[in-house]
Parts: sequence; structure tokens; C-alpha cells
Amino acid sequence: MIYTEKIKLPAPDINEILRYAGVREADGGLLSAVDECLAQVLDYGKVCYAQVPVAIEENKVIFNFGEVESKALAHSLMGCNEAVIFACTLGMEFDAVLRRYSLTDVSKAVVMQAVGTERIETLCDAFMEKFSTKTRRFSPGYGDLSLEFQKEITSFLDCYKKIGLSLGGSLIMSPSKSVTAIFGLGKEDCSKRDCCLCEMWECPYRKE
Amino acid sequence: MGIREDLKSKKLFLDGSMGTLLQNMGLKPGELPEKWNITHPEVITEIHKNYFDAGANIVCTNTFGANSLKFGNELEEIIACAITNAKKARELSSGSQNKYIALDIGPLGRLLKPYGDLDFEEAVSVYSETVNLGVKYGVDLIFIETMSDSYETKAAVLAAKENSELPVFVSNAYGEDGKLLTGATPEAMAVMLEGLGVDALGANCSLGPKQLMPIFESLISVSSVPVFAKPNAGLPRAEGGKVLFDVTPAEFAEEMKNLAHMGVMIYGGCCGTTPDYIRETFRSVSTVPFKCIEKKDKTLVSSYTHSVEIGEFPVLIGERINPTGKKRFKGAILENDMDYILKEGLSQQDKKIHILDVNVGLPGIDEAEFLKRTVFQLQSVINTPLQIDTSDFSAMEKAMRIYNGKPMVNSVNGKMESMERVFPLVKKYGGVVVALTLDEKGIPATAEGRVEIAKNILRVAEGYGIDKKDIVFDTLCLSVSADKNGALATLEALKTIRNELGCNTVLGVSNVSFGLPERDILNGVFFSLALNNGLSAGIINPHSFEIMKAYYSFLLLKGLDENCGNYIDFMGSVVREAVVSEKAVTVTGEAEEPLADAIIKGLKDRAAALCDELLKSNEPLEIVNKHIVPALDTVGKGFENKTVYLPQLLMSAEAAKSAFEKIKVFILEKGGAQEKKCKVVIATVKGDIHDIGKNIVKVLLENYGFSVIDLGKDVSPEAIAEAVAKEEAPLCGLSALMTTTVPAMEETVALIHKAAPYCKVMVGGAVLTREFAEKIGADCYGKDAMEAVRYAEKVYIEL
Repeated sequence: MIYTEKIKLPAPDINEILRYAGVREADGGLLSAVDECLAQVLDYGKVCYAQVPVAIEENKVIFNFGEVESKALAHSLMGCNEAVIFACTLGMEFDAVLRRYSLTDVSKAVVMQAVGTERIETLCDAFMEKFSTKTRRFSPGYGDLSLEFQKEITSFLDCYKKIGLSLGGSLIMSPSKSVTAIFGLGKEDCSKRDCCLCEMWECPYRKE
Repeated sequence: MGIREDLKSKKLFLDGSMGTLLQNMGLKPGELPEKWNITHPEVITEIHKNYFDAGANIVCTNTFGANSLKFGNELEEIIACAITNAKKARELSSGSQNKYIALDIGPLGRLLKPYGDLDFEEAVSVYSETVNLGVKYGVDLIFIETMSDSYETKAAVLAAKENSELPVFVSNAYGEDGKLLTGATPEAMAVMLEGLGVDALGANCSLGPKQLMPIFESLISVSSVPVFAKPNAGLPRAEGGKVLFDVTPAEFAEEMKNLAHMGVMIYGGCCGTTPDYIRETFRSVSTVPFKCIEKKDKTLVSSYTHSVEIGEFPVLIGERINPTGKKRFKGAILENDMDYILKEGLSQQDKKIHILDVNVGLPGIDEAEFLKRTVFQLQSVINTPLQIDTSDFSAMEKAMRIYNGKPMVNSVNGKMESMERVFPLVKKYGGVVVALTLDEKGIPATAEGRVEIAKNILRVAEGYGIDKKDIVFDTLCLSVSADKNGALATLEALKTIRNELGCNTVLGVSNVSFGLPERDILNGVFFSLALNNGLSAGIINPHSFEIMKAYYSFLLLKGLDENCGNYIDFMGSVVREAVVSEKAVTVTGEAEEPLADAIIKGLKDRAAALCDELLKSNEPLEIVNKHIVPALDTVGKGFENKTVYLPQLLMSAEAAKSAFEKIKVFILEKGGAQEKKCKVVIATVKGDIHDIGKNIVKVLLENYGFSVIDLGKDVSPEAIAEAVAKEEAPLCGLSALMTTTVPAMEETVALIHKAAPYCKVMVGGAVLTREFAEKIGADCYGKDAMEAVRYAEKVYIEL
């Protein structure tokens, strides 16, 4: 069965927001822009998920709703018999505010963008907290897991109906601040996100 | 005999869930239920038959997700089999009730623009394919259900109406907050759907019958067409691998009976309901006497979020989106400067107007295309209902078609030709139309003459099936300087139409003072008089203190302002604004160059105010070169040296922009034109719907004096190449965010180089690198916005 939940968001991490906005030192004007943007984000997000059996055959990961070829995902889920597939979103109100800022004040749009990134990552973390022994989350587009796999995830989870998340023709998700991901159960690894899986070497947000 | 007759005389019953039953019969996760029409026809037929046997008059085919986006070439077979299965069930069922087969249509599962990337007309054509197949294989009605977006709902209804004569039932899925996913209230949906001419409307899915009760209450309060209910069997829970629901058939039936007493006329079930639920509901609701829904006579318009009533409580219609007499606005239309127009809308929304008038008519432009684009863009940032204001009928139709709600339309008049053109549009798309009391003979001088025309307009409208609630009369206010009794005739006609014909009224208030000094004062007093004579809506300038003062005072004195709240809020905002503008000019710093200092610090209002001051005694070019450009340089270099960060760079850019805006208005008023460096076409490529990066580049390029032609986002390679060639632009900037859209960028670069070999192409975006940019044939890779500006300057110098 697919579960749908509304999850309350914990307090924001201002330093993370500034990092996403490309700022190392913030002045008063910037901090008040961050506050203004934060005030316009809902304090909850929506998640839909399912707990499913998983099997690994070499580089192939087999779920009950479909299978996918990915060495990195197979490695991450190795040793797990069950996985959680989830999708979450901040909702389309966020995009409406962003569209408006894009028009009236593009500097706020940049800050809003950063706020959204921090909020959706926090939402993922908050959701995952209720599972005790788990791997780190893995999304289509990480390593060699194809973005195409989004199609199967969103269709299996019935994302449009459950949380209003839809996939566009070029695999862009709407609303923009949304995540789809998979994590394994019954095995522990560092569940904090890190950059070692990613091949975007020149990414300005890369953490060493 | 038929559904439309049945709706007038009896309660009707719908079926219950299909999906829940199929899952219990072995439909696997990820398997498409529509395929079972072909692979398990006997199962589907049996389910339909059980619903007919339980008392359903209408069963929905198993075609919820049957559209060409999902099934491509298989679509016809799926729909044909689905309808065959339902027909077989109808034959097999022993029930003696009237039995109908509905073509079931659900959401496409892809969000429409501006929320997602699916075009409105594309959605209409996808739905049209499904509808045409339903008609071909012989259904009795179209059942559009579980729609969570008002815009997509409209696309589906248009497809149903344009491709069939069949009755159309429409049902939306409301969330726990009582609204659709994209924000519409039940009232807004009922207003739009009734305008589109559906036969019945309702709500299904999401919640149980009890929780949906307030939704039905709202629908019934505004709808004049029958309302139906198809709730879930409460909330789902998993038990031993099966999904169970918490409301039993008997409890469900009891709640449905309550809904019947409330005025719901058609009853069925959604997720979790089975033939047992329908049988119980049939039994319990049968004891409630049939009562047809009451006709409502409220004048209502809607946006994609809410409805606005024009009636006892007078409403404000913002008039500022209109080029008449405004050089800056004309310039914006001619230069395709959509941002300026949108900001004009936003600033009026901030003044709490209820409806926004949209007039972009100007000789020499393709008004139909431009109005359509303006309406689309406005409704992506503003949720105020719009008044489509044009004398070009083709522009009117295009705008009404893509409008997300029931619009106000300005205008029709007593001339036969006007009514023959406008009324069919109002009938098809829905709308409240402003009717001017003039005809072939012109504007009658007397109030009686105008009232006579109004009566004639009502007669003709009735012939088109348009109710008088959807007509609002404008008794035409002309300049009092031309005719001393003109205002009196207007007011007299207004009063008669309101009191004797029982219709609502509207006036363009500002015309009264044309040609006179201190127009605002006269407008304000006239507005008060009109309100007191029964004006239902004023087309006004919300930035005028005299007008707003008259309005809030009137509300207060007429007992329409609970606890004086609106009046106090308004006066508070007046005081706050005065303080802000005072502060913008008078804050004194030690800075030698206050304007440059304001730009560097990113103070928007202050930069604008200081620039205004400087314009009193300096040439525009001097201000640009001495104050603005040096400030921009300081910030730009700071950014390049990493002492200034992107948001700060952009705050300065916005401050500079507000100063430039003052200069632009100043030059336009003097009849001059601003000098620009060269044209730069920019766009986000096909498939990409995020455009912040592009907008950043745009603001900076404009700051540095380039004439930027912004094509927007998700733009096809052909459209970009065409624009570059047409504008003969020496530079084009493209952005892409996703790896999946980089091929579109590559294609665009190639096409531009072919169509306009002289044009340099610079590219940027999160997934690009310098190497990649080279590989796809771009002339330059812009790592950030400043690099883009530096490259543009290089191109300009080398011209």
C-alpha cells in the first residue's frame, strides 16, 4: 500500500541556505531577505511512500513494480531485503512565490531558490527519521541511476494523485522543489548526504 | 428519454470504485488497470454488472487513465473494449432502471503550464482523442472525474463539448484544506463549470462523505446545475496485504442520505466503495423526496483560486493595464516588455482590487496573440479574476479560451453585430459580460434611452441562453465638461437598471473628469455618487487616493465594513506608504554619490527616488555615466573578485533597474528614445521550465544597456532561431538546467548558426561546463551572469 503523509518541517538551517545561495558572509540585508523568503514557505511538506521487497542480481535492482540497472544503487542496497521508495514535495505554492519574485526582484528569487533547496532536503531527512536502520537515500540522477527511472517511481507511487507531483516531458519534476528517492532498510551506512557519489566535480556546492 | 430529462425529474445513482476491486482481484502494483479491458474483459463486465444490479443508473467505463500520452496507439482498442464490456454488463443486468454508460476521463497525470510543462491546447487535443473514441464506440455521457487542477478541468470540458453533444458530468478531487491542488475553492469550480455549460458537477475521491460535506455545501450554494457526490469509503489502511477502508456500507449510505437532504441529486462512490455501498445508498437515499437544485441569481466571476461576487458589496476593478494615454505602457506593448505589464498587475493586486482589467489594444500589433499571452502570463502570477477588455472579437475569444476561470468580459453593446459576436463566446466559455448602453444610433442622451437599450440587450441575451445575472450594465459616463447633464443621465440610468431591471452595474469612473484640472478629486466624488446610486463595480485607478478614500468611506457608512476593519487598514497603509517614500529621499548618508551608494547597497526605493531628484537638474545620459555605471562597475568587479555574492550583485542590479525605469519614463515623456547597445535574444531551451538563471542574466544585461528580447522558457529551437534572424541580433543567450534538455540546446545552437551565421551564441546553466559548451558548438560559455555581460560587451565592441 502507498502511504501519504504531511510532515512538519523542523527549523531551517540558515547557514545551509546561505551556502545554497552562494554566500559565505551575510550582511543584514541578505539575512532579512532570507527571513522574508522563509516566511512564505509552508511549514510542512507532503510525502508518499511504499515499503517494498528488493532483490539484487549483480548490477540489477529488482522491485515488485519494476527493475533497474544501476551499479551504484545495487551497491547501496546490497544486503537489504526491503527498501522504501518515496517522493516528497514542498508543493506548488512555493513555485508561485518564486515566479513572482522572478518578476519583481530576482535577488529574492535566488534567495528563495536556496531556501527551497534547504527545505526539501530537510523534509527528506525528517521523513527518513522514522526508519531506524537504513542506508542513505539514493535518487535518480545520482551516479549511474538513470533519470528515466523517475517515470517508474512516480507512476508506482501514483505521485500526481497522492501529492500533486508530476513529471514533465524532459523528466523535470513539478513542483520544482520535489525529490524522489530510494533507501534500503536493515543496513546502516552513514545516512547523511554527501558528495562522494556525485560526478559533478565543478559543482559550486560540492563538499569535500 | 435521456439523462438530461432524468436530471430534471429523478435522483440518479452512479457506480462505486473500479480500482479497489481490481486490486483485490489481483491487479499488480505498477500494472495499468485499463489494460484489463482487453486481458480480463469478463472481470470488468462482471464489476459493471454488479453495479447496475445494485441500482446504479450510470456506470463509468474502465478508462480513467486512457489517454494517448499513456497508451499511444493502443488507445483505441482499450476504449473500444472498455465500452463493449460496459454494454455487455448493461445487457446482462436484470435491473429495470434507466441504465447509461459514461466515458470515464481522469487527469493526464502531467501538470499544465505554468505549473508544469504541458500546454493547455495540447491537453485539449489529448482529451479530444479520448472523447472522439468514446463517441465513436457509443457512450451516453462523458464523465470527467478526480480532477485536481482547474485549468486541466477546463481543457477536458472544452474537449468534451467541442467533440460531442453528449451530457458532461464533471467532478473534482478536493484536498483536506477544501481546495484543489492548484488552489481552487469549490465555489470557484462551480462558477467556472456552470459557465462552461456542464450538465452536472460534483466532487469525488480524497475523503469520506462526512468530511466532504462542507465541499458539497459550497457547491450547492452557487451552482444552478445538479450536484453529485462520489466520496471514498473513508480512509484507507493496510491489513494483511489488502487495503481496507474505515466506513462501512451502512454508515456510508447514512451519510449519503444527509447529503441528499442537503440538495445533492446524484450519488455514487469512489475508492473503497463496492456494489454493497451503492446498494445500501440506493436503499437509504430512496426515502428522500426528489428536489431539483434551485436556480441561483448571483453574478459571479472566478479565477483559478476563488470567485468574486458582483452585487450588494461593490467591487473594485483595476484599470491600469491599459495603454490609453500612457506612453510608457504603449512602449511596453510595442517592445514586448511583458514584465512591465505584469508588474502593473501586481501593484494593483497589492491595492486589494477584486478584478483586474486587461486591455492591451494598440494599432499595429497582433492584439489577439498579445492579449492571449498577457492573460496567460498574468494568471501565472496573479490570482485576481481578470476582465478581458478588447474590441477585437478574435482577441476576446482567444483570451477567454485560455483563461483559467470564468472571466469578466468588456464589452458588448446594443448593436446587433456586437451581440452576435460576443454572446456566442459568453455562451461557450462562460463569462460575465459588461454591456454598454449604446446601439447603432449612438449613446442616448437620456437615462430612459439607455434603459431601453439595456432591456433590448437582455432580450437578445436570453435568446442565446445567457442569464441576466451574467450581464452587468455600463451606463456610460462621458466627460462632464462636454455635457453638463451627462453625469446625471449616467447616474439616473444606473439607478433604474439596478432597481427596476434588477441587474448589476459597472462604470469606468475616470472618464467623467476628462479635460478638467485635478481630475482625481472629481473622480472620487463621482465614484461616491455612483456607489450611492447603486454601482456594483467601479473600473478605477487603485493608486488614486481620492478613489480609494471614497470607496472605503462608502463601505463604512453603508454598514458594509465589519468593525471598520477595511477603513482602518486602508488608512494605515496610506500612512505607512507616506513614511516609506519620505524615508527613501531623506535618509542622508555621508556618501558623496548618494545614487551610486544606494545602488551599491542595493536599496531599490532609494535609488529610484534619488534618480528622480537628479533628473530635475541633470541630463539622463549624465546620470547613467556618472552615477549608475560606476556603481554597477564597483559591484560587478566585487562579484568577480568574490567579495560580493550573487544575491548582493542582484540587489544592486534591481536598484539600478529602478533608477533606469525613472530615466526611461523621463525620456519617453519628452518624446525621445533611449540609446541601447545592441540586441540580445535570450531564452531557456525547449523542455526546460526553470528560468531563474536566464532572468538573472537578463537583469544584468539590461543594466549594462543592452536591449534584451526575452523569449521566456521552454522555447523551441525554431522559435529561437526565428527570433534571432528577425531581430538580426548579434548575440543570443541560452540556458538549460537538465541533462535531458542539453540536446535541445545543441539543436538550437546549430539552428541559430544556420539561420543567422552572424549571431554569436552564449550558453549557461547548471549542467553545462566549458568543454560541453564547446562540444555543442556554442561560441561562449558563461560560468555566471557577469561572464555573460563581459562577453556581450566584447561582441558589442567588435560589431
